[in-house]
Amino acid sequence: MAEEEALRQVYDIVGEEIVDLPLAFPARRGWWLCFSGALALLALWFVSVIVLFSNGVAVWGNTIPVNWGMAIINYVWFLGIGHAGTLISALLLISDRNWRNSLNRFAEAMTLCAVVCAGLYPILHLGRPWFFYWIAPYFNSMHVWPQFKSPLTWDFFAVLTYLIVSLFFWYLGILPDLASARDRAKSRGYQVFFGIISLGWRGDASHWARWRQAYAITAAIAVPLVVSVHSEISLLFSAGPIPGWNSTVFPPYFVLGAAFSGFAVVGIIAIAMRAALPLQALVTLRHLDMLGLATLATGMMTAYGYFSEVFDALYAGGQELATLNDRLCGHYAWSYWGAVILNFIPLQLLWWRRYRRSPRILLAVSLSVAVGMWMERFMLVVTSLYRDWLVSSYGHYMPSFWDWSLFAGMGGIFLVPFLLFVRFLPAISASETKDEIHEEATDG
Amino acid sequence: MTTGWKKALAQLHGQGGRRFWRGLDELADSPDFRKALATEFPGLASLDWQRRDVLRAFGASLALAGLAGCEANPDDRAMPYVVDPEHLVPGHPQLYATAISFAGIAQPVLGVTNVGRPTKLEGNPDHPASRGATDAFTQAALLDLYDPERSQVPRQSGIPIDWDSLDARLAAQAAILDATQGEGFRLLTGATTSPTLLRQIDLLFARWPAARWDVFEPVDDSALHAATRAAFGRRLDVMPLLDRAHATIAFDADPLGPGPYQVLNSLRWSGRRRAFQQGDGRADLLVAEPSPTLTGGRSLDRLVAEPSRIRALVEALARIFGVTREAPALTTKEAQWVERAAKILAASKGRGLVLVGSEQPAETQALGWAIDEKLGNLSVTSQFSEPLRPSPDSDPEQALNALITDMAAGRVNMLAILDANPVYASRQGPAFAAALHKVELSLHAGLWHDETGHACRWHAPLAHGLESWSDGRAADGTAVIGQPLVRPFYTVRPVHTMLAAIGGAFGISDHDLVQQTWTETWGTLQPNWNQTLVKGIAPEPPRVALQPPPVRLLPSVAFARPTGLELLVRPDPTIWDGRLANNPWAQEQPKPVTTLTWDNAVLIAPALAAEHDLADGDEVRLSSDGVSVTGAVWVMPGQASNTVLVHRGYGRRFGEVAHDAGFDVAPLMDQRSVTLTPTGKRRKLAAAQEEHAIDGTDLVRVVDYLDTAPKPPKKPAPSFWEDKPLTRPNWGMSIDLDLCTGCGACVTACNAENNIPMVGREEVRNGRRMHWLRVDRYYEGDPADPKLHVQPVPCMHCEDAPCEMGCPVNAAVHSPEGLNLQVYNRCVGTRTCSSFCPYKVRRFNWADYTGGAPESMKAQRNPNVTVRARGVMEKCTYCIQRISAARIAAKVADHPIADGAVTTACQQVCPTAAISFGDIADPAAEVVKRKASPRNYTLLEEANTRPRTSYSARIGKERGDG
Amino acid sequence: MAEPPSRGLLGEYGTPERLVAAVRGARDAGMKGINAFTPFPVDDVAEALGLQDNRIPWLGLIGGVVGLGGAYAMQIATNLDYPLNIGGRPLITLQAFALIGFELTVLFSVSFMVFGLFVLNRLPRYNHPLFDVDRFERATRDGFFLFVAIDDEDEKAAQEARALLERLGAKSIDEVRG
Repeated sequence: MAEEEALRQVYDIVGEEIVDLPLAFPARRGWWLCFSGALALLALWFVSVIVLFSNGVAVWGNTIPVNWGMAIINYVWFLGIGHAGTLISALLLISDRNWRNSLNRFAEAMTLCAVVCAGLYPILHLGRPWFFYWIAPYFNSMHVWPQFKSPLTWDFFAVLTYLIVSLFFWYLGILPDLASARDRAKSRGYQVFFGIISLGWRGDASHWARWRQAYAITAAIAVPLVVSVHSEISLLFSAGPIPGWNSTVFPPYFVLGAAFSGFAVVGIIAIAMRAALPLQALVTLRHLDMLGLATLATGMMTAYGYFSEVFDALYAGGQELATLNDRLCGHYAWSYWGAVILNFIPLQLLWWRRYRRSPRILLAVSLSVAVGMWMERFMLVVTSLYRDWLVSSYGHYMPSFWDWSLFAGMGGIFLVPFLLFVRFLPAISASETKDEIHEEATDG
Repeated sequence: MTTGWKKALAQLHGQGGRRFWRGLDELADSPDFRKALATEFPGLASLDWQRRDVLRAFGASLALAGLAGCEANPDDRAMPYVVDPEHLVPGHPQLYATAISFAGIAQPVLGVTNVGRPTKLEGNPDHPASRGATDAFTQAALLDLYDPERSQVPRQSGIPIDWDSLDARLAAQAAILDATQGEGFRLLTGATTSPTLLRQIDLLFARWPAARWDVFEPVDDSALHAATRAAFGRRLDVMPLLDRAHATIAFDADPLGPGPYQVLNSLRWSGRRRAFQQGDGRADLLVAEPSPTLTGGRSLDRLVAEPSRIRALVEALARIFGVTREAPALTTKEAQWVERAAKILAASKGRGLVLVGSEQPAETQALGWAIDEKLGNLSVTSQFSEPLRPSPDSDPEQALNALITDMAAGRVNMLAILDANPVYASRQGPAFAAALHKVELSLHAGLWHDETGHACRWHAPLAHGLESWSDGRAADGTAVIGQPLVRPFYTVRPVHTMLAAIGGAFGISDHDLVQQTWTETWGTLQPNWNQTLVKGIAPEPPRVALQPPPVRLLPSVAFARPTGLELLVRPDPTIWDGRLANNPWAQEQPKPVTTLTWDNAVLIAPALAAEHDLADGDEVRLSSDGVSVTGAVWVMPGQASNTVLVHRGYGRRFGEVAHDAGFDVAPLMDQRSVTLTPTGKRRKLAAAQEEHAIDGTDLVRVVDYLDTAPKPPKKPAPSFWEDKPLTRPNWGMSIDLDLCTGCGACVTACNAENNIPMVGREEVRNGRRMHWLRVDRYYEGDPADPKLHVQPVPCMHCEDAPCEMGCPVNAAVHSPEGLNLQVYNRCVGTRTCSSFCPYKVRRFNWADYTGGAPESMKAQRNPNVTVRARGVMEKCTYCIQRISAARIAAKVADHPIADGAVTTACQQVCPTAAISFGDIADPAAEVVKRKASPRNYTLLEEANTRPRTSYSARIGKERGDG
Repeated sequence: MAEPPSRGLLGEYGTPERLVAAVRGARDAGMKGINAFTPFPVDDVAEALGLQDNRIPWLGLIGGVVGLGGAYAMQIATNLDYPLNIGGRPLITLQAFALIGFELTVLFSVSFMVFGLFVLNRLPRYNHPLFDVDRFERATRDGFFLFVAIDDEDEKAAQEARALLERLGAKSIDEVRG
């Protein structure tokens, strides 16, 4: 009976830990600091976009031949980060790894924010962004349609699908906890707010049953979705006849790289939230351990991608070899070696459990991976274009101030919604954690 | 909560969750969130994009006078080329046979006018000196007509006045001069071949015998004339007849290079070359020169030689044929080259040609003629004639100095400068300007209120050649009549009317003056007049080619090899002596050899650069006894290591477009040697092409003459996609790299035809130039002495086009006629097409390059070609507007489009007819014949994009040549 | 499906296990309108209630088929509507269409399931008699509730129901007025 009482209290406390966070937010000052920083970045974003729209893409560093630059680099980078969220929640859900429960919620939120950033970039990248919707099929008097054989059209559908599915997935997961927040809320305002967005969830057994089905199947589909989405991003490059792009290794290479950078960023966020909010009970060192392992695994696979790319070039010779040479010793060699060093050297620490369980080390490694993967995207885009086929069209690329300012501004687009989420919504899945505790307790 | 918490734990430890909950007491502190942020967003690079430069490219800063919607109507006395409806059909361009003068030489053209606005100049196909071709200068000349900075009103000491007050002053002066027999009157004109102008001058000086006439032409034939006077006893023009020359040995001579004779020389050279390709005789060309030229680039064997070595080389050659006994010491390389030259000359005895550059001393040129004389070439491969551009002075330089002295001494009370700019373009510019103050009535008449205009007290705006009646002589001496394409935009005067006014006769129209001249020549005006206006050639008794008297060999004046670096000062290949400096088309036209735009540079050899540790753009000071000039260095492969080459025409002191470009070399103009000292500063030079070395690639293919024997055409590489059957018509292009000299006329013609915006120095540096057609320039082999290659690259119009695959909105699509279309108004600007294009021929409107253009420049635009907006991709269309025009015409006449009915702008302008375009589904078409040649190849075959533009390989070795 | 009766008794139980037991008990006792409410999904409860509803997976499948079919239909139709030669490739290229085919399969499948979920669960529903029971707020925290329907006429049956819930170990029992 006492044990029962204890369990019951644990459920309650878990709820308190998670659901009461928004209701009685502990780190208000810290949050406001972060949030005002994020708002500043958001302002910078608007300035950069206004400048961009009023002058045209000329304010960026793009040239012929390097007519893709930071916009595409960051598009791929942000989307890659996003994938970890889906992978963690979906892949681990269907493989029934319970430790995910403490991570999946904010990982998914992170995904949403990242996908929004990623989705904005290709639009800003356009010469005539106000016509971006021409990529979507819609009935018009001219009977002109999108070109469905173009990788860009594929990307458009992929990113759109990914955004919507991630949103559904995330909302399904958070719905019961919103109800819980509704019931815990003391102030009228919160009661109404949570009352409305929880749609009157009552924990009805039949509801739960259907919820389980929908949630599980969505998760099952989400995994191949992630793979398809980033494979298509890679086709954006490998569909063209440009040496260094036109390679069959690209799809898996991109997907793994994406997961790699994603796990790293999840690690960063987990550690940061752990430090900022009293979640140590829920986001434990074990979670960091698991994240470390995931990062290590995907990292090593990415390393294999690097290797096979080099192999391809050596095998193919000709232009491919020339491009490899440009990457290793060309004007932008820093991006190649920067990627190799930042991605794989610190990563090796994660072979040791000790380091995986040390938030400091894990954070350092994750940061280096995040930067390293950005450099990889830079390397992939720029080093292939700046010296492609004709000697006469060799060129150069130098990001301008407005390239960087927009990138920094995107940080605002990413952080503002994420911080609002942390502040006002249950950042960890309470119902699933309770479920997990229940199982732990029973089959213990 | 803590109590409940602890209890819960206590209880749990007995239970399953141990592993899970152990983490609790290990609390690790971690860095805060914003640090993570900080590392995610690295520092910001500096902004380096300046809209100003874009605008400058248009010369847009000037508020423009009444040209917006200028009422442009043709002179009704002008006669349209071939037969056209009397009344003007909107959208139906009218052609007028006329001529535009360049440095006094008339370039016969057909002016294309749309709704009364001249939009393009085409070569006159009926004229032997054009055959439908023009050079880049003539193409660009059109834009001067629309230059917003053209002088529009008369001025007195810079202040705008009306014509009446100027005329009043002139009338008064004329009266005085009549009294004094023209005492103290001086006339200074640019070089001219205009019979009317010469007649007017004769009349004027018959009236004012005490007056004097001088000619100032910055780049003239005086050196040649001096040489012919020494060698033949009289001043003569010498035209190389390259079409007859089976073997040409050029010493520091560049007949194919830019200049008023380029088109004629290129026509003739290509005529011979084409015959040689078909197995008729030879077309050997050997060149010894200090710095790469277009001629050098075409040569079979190019010897890098300092100017001062030329003398020795010619002597050595002369000695072999026993013309002289001088035995100069030669290096083995030089000796081999001379031997080869001798061999080649001997092989084509009586059909050879020795060309010595007119920059060379008279005795060296004489030696060259002596060799030709000895071999019986002289009257065969060179044409001697009376000077085409008559000059009253044997030595124009002396004459100019004398004029300055007279002015300074106050012996000149009226100086009229017609269409000349001595204050900028002559070495004595400053002295001239100073002396002008002593002249009571100094009058400058010109197209711009330029340096000389500012220095003179009075200024009169002249009409552009396309706004006025005139006449002149083409490079081959035939006379042409220039009729106006449009009434003057401003209250300006044609040069003839202006000269009449100087003589005190007002209100005389240029039309009447020109008619008078020709009435006198023909005895009666009609029907010749109308025929001339329609056809563009004025009938005259044929000019008899002079038989040159025996060559008088001159005592070889032992000249010491100059100490220090040898300096060469040559006219600029795209803006010449500076007359095109305010012309964006000319400024952004990549220099044929360096691909530089918007600047001149100090050209030095790689060895010299290494010696002084200089790179492209490093600034150096060139100094020689007291005078010095600073400019940026450009490292020129294949230049003699002891030679420095600078170009004239830059460092103008007027003009929105002109004034900030390059440096003025006037102070050094008569120096032969200089010392070079780096200043440590840098100037950002804008080269259209960053890299030039193509060793190990087959971008430009070279075959032996023997390889050109017909072979079975080789199969195209396999493709996933089955080839579609060719419907008719189906367009394709072939470019003969054996004929292309790289003159770049095609680039400017394309600008004019397709409304291509100029973007300015900064944007060219950023790799954002908009030229649809570029001429790639390659060096192969040792930078000290490389092989030079050129390759025009338009859109390849690939059959399996990667660009089309990339476009998500169907803006890049394939037409049924095989064109790779770019649909501007559908383009959203993803730039995927350009990323996927292996040839990088696509151009993107990064900014609004067209909207900011001055109204006047907008008036030039071709109404049949869309003006592209910001944010859209564009590229070569094979001149689709011309294709549709031909299609419509064919429909109207109800017959299929004939071969040759469509000529692209680049093809039409090409002086060597290197470009061929037509229906590749028509077995009889010339383009099909060319593509059938064993020399035919496509660029980047390995990319398997199946280009429609193909190339004919260069012929590297000559027939029977080891 | 018919709206389940909302007039009844609500008993709270300490743990999922007890709730399951209670559900079983109630069913054995032949109670009507039995339903359970838990803070997290408990499979045994659903099982005990004998819930056999597989409409969600079916919706997912249908959505997938619709998406796939729609995608191919769209891509083929638009290419036929305005045939263009793109890079010399065939007009209809099923391989190239597969990617969008897959994306739309996923999109429609998920959307069908999510919207199906809300429809079948009759959500959103902002007022429900259960919400009038103060204690019911624990249903989203740590309370495990059993609901049995009673009708007002039969006072005796109500008493029995209450007794049964107690027997099954209810910590507390509230009445829900429909």
